[in-house]
Amino acid sequence: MTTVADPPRPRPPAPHPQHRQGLLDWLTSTDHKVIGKGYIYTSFVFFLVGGIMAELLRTQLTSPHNTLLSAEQYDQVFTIHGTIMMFLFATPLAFGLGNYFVPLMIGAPDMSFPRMNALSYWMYLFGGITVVSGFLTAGGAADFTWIAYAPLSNAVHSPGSGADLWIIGIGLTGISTVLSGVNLITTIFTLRAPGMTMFRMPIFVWNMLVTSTLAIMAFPVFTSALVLLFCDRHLGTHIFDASHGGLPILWQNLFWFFGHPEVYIIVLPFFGVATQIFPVFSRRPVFGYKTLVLATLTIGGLSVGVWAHHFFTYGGVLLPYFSAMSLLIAVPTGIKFFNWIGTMWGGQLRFDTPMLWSIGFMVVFLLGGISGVILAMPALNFDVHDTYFVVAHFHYVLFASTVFVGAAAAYYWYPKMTGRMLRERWGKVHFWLTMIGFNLTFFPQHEIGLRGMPRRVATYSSSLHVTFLNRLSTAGAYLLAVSLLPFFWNLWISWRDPIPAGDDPWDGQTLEWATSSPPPPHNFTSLPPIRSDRPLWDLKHPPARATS
Amino acid sequence: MRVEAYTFLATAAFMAVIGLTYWFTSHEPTGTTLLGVGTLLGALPGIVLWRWSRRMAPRPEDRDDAEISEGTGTVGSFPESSIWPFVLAAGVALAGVGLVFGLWLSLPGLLVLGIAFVGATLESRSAH
Repeated sequence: MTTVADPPRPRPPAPHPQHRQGLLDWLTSTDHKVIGKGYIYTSFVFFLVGGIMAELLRTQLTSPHNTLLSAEQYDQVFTIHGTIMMFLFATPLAFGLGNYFVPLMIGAPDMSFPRMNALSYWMYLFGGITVVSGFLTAGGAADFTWIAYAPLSNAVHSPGSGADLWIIGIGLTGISTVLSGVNLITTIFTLRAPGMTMFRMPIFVWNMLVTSTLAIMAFPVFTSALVLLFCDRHLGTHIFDASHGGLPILWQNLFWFFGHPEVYIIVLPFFGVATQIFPVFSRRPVFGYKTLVLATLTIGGLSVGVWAHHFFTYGGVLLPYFSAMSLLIAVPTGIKFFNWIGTMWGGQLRFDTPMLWSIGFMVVFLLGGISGVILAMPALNFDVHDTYFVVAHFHYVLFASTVFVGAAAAYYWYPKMTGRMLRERWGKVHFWLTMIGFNLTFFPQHEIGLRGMPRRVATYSSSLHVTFLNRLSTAGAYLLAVSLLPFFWNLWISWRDPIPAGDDPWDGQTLEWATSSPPPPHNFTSLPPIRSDRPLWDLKHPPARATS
Repeated sequence: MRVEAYTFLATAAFMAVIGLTYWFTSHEPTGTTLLGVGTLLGALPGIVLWRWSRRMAPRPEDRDDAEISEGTGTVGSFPESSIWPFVLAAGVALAGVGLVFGLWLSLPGLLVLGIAFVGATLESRSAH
């Protein structure tokens, strides 16, 4: 055990060398930064795997009756694509960023429970491998969509061990997320530096707090539902089996009681990252700090009360309640947009890569939000339910937050994590290729959906007149794949020919920039006084301090 | 500690309000139960934190005017590297996959799990 004193008191020398490498060090580390990096890198690998699956799906859809994939293979690929992107890419990426940066931002030496933190990571990794290993079984991977609706997911309609591996693997990652959530909440409540009151925490930390609360509220429901499903499949229970008095709709309710908060578990951390980036690249304090906190809390609260808008068409859903609650979410989200624009308004804007990605996120997410408002209205929802319109909507929302802001976070924090800069020029090429590729892929899908093409089908009729639009969409998907090449090239040259980043390359405002890059074990040797939500800025610009 | 408590208590209050609204408009048991349990989930830590916030003086991190030097002293004990989280997760995963493929995988999984429990516990003891 190492006993850590808060800075600036002299600490005993670090117990292990700073640049630890090697497999055993990685396997045994309990340092939140090593674990955070583990999460981020692992989730990126899963993103690439899920991305390859997406390219397969798009290739299949280039012509109406393509035979590249059989219907069974197509079902498996889109199921695992969705599963990977939701559970093995987006959520762990968010928690990886939280793991790495929450302790740094609040001036803490580590997370509250370092060994539990390591346990979370390993359960996530093993769970992820378990899900994907379904492809190696005789019957193939799970093919009942990532929402695993009953009765499709029962032993009669989805036999085979691929489906069981999906249940076990997702259960493992779910437990891992709950443990991470508990860890983050405890860290935020008990390890803040003196003077770092709740209303001085960076917005990213607030968003991780709300995300973690949502995670401990939502994931146990899902894990319980998975246990019930497993019992139905193997132990002879009939919980979701209508023919023996069970209730298939119970699964839909349990799943989406988890599933909708899950969407915000994915989105809120990235809102937080964007809220860190806008003030730094506008050289202004964030506009409306408390309203941003309130908006985050409101989004988190409302997200728990809207689950049934995913199955409006079922017939037994209280439409006015769920429609009103869903529409209400547009208000706090609008407040956030207002505050982001307010932060930039009158600022000295710098269009460096992180800022470019964040602005791109605002544009793309706004389009997804608008189609979300459309879908929240039952009269319109009935018309486009389960069509490509929905696919377009949620990719606009989720891709904008996870990939656009994920890339913004990569360009913003890579210097802190590695001590090296990424090249601006390649970052901008990466951005524009992604922006064009993304819109080319998903904008046509709105129209494809409106023309009546259902989602989750391997073939379609040429009489729908969607072949050309599907080809456009596929071309966009290929461009998205190409857009990663400049990023890889950027990583490669930063490794081969590093430009040292220094401690604070972006003229940052928050505490993670007040330590070295990469930070030492236990993070800080000294801390600036904390008198506002941007202590480092106060330290660098003392005259501004005098007025506050 | 007070703001922390209010965060959770507000969660509980919000869940209670939408839960009651939902019950009286829909009479649907599943969602009402979930929202009710969600209310408890917010209330339990909220009440504990609120009671503590009344019993203890504000910590340095709760005060606007605290100096960094007030945080000197022991912040906490942080474990050094440990192999047991990895072994524990491996045990859980093996035992879980064993539910799919059979006891021949579950039993070694449970064995690994047991070893990890013992190892992690002994490690914590010897460290203090």
